[in-house]
Amino acid sequence: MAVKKLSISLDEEVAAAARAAAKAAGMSLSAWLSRAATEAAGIEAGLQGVREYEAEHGVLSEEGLAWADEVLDRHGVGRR
Amino acid sequence: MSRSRSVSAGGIVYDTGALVAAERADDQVWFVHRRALGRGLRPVVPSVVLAQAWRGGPQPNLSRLLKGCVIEALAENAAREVGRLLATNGSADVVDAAVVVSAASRGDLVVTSDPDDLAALATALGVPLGMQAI
Repeated sequence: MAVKKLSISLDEEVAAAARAAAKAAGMSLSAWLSRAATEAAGIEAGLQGVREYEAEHGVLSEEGLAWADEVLDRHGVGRR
Repeated sequence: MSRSRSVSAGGIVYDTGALVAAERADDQVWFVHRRALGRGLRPVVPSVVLAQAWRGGPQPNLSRLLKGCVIEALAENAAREVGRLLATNGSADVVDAAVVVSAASRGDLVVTSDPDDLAALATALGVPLGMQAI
């Protein structure tokens, strides 16, 4: 995969936390930030997909979303 | 709304039935999908599941769902595990077995239209998996 070099600015605390997290994961800071950006972009793209679905089929009901929360909680999804 | 088996899980894997349900605008899949994204999780779709569900498009709802998913390629080791599982279980559904092997590798919840067959495969693999029927 081609790599794009960027110059970015982070708050000192964020930079320190990112370096610590990368070290704990056994990754370079660049690799860790790349992974974090990939995840965040993927989540945002997914939420955009949901918004597009709702625009055509109606807003997802609070009752249904509460059911989904119950399902995910019961299975421990997202608790790691 | 529907039955499930509870086993601690980390993420989510969709089977073909889940993708088909998403395309036909079954809100149940979308409820789970929305809440998973809200927890910072991108559901996993094994590539063979995508192959079974994708019919060349346009499949607009499925395409919207896939925007938030991770498409997981079937690597050689996993392919061998799938084959071994099929032999153990005496079955031939490569896609179902790939779903179970994928979910078992992380302890994920399986969102499926066919929890019984997938649970049988999970049992044959010796890994208890959570199943949510949709």
